[in-house]
Amino acid sequence: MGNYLKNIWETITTMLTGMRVTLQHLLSIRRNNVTLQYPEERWPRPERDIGFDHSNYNVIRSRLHVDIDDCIGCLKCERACPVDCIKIETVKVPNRGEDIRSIGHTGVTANGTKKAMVVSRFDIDMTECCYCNLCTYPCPEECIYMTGGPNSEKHEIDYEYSEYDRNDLIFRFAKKVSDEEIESATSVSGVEG
Amino acid sequence: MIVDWLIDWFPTSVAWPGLTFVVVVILCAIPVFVFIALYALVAIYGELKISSFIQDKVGPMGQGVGLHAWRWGLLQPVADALKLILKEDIIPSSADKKLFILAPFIVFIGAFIAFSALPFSQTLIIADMNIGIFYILAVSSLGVIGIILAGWSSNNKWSLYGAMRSAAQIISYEIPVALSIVVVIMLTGTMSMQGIIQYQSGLIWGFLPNWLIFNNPFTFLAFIIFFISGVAECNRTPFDIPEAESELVAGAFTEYSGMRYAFFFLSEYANMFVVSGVAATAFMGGWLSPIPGMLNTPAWGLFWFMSKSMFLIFMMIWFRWTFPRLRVDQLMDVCWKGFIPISLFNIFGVGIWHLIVG
Amino acid sequence: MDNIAFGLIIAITLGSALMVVVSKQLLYSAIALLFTLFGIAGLYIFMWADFMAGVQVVVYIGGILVLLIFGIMLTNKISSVNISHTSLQRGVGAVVTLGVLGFLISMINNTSWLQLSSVEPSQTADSIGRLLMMDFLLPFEVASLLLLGALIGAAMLSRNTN
Repeated sequence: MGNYLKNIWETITTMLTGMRVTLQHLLSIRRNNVTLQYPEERWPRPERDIGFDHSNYNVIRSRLHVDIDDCIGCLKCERACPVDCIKIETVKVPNRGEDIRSIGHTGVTANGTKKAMVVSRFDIDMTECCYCNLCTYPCPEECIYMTGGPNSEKHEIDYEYSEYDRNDLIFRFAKKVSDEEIESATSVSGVEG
Repeated sequence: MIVDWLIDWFPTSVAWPGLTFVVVVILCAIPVFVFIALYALVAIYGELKISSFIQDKVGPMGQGVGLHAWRWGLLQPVADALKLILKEDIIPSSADKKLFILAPFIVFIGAFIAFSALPFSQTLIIADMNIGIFYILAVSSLGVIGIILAGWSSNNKWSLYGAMRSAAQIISYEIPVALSIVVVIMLTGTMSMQGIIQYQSGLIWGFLPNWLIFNNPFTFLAFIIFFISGVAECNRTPFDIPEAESELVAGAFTEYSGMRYAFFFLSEYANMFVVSGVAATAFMGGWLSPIPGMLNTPAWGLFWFMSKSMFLIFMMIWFRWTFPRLRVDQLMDVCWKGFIPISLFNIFGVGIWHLIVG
Repeated sequence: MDNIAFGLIIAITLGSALMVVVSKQLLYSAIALLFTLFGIAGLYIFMWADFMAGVQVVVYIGGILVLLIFGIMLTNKISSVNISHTSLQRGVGAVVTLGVLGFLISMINNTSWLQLSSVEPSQTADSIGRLLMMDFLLPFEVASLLLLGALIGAAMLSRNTN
């Protein structure tokens, strides 16, 4: 009988203990919450010490970015890509080095090279990219690069680029103008081929 | 009450009085159904949020496009309900089709008709029967047949094991429930729900409302036993061995999908409300306000009744996310070696107390 | 109102009772029995015996029928759906059945039935309780003793002898 009552007493006290614990968690949800509402909130990126200066660390594998105003459409990166995730199409311009404002084309790159091509399409499919960095070496204008790291002053780091739709992971760097507009802009002066 | 009003309200000169009866029954059934559906949405949302909070998570917070959106995931239960309705209705080819289709309705009817005796407020009760509380006990035993049928007709061993466990559990736990209600009936001397509530008006010990939970130690014990056994009758954790996900997939409901599963789900939540409503009525003064003599209009009565029931439903959710599931033999031990002796002792004790004090 | 509801309840009771007898599957019979027992509860309500109706539902549907279904399930292979039964010895059965029917009919005709008042009694459970606890206390206690004996016997039988 004594054991029976002791069991009941232990049952009640341990149950109440458990319920107290869960109630405490329930009430202190604002403090203890561990969920991060990901797309809206992000964890702060930890400061990392990789043993040497960031600017010396040139092979950071984050996301490819193209400064399209500097691209001369030489297709070297497309050829270098081992998985063919870069797609470039170009159209010849009538006059080398001249701005075509109607389609946002600048004639001269930051390095002073006069551009002979309008880049009508420059797509990088980041779902295919294998982060080998091989496309950035041949670029004569240094306009394709991995974001962040030594390039942080050109473009801040972006390693998440999470999207709701897989197609949104194809990054389209070319100016958003239609093919007809490019055609009319490049064929105005009558120069063909 | 409402039934009587409606029958009086219909012109007595109607040629076919049977028609009046049918119309009145339908007029009573539709609001109850709507109430169950709306309450289930609230309870499911509460369950999602409370379970998440207890686990230090935030629960559904959909803010993007789509139906699970809006603030704090408030539309999550609506999206869940829509999903269940739109899902394909699958009947396994080896199942017993007639019984498979019948089972969810029997379970739901068992939960549904109990609502006709719940006193939502002074005037808001569908029928204040002489045997109100006994009627609820009686019809709530109907659900077990539906569960057995569901388990057997699915022709699936997990379903059948779940059904057997469920039947054993519900039959066992009906005894402590009934014995605890006997304590209430002994004190109040009536089985009518409104009569039980009226007995509890006024003060006791000078400052507490005269609810049976405060009346004497035996009724307090009876309340605890009634409530825990009620949780067991709803097949909720920690007494959810009939559907024990980790052992039996989903027990008797394994083969069900879509609307038919939704009916089982709805009846589980409806049963929770019935148990909470009866507990609130029998032990916590039903629609009586906590401050005797104040705020006791019918509208406030509805508020008090709902808040008491919702508090008890919160307790059930709290239990669910605190306690681990009992093993089958432990479950039976708790009932036959724990609750039933204590309930019998309770009846004895209340009798003595009633002789000496009351 | 009374006639329509009464006819409905009678139809459910008799129809499902017929199903109980005719159905080839044991479990279908058990389910039909559910409706029969419900119909009988309805008949109790027509006699203003609401408490008896409640007891009918609790004891017969919540208890006995569940045990019956339990028995059907436990005594057969769990996986076999085709639990069926057939009629044997039809000739003898018909004679016995007709004899019982004739006996019942003569009994119904020869009994002087009590005419119940058609007004709802204010208390139903109350008078039952008074009768059980005062006038018929001894039979009540003897019945409870019998049930207690059955309970202890069942516990003894199912007990692990080791």
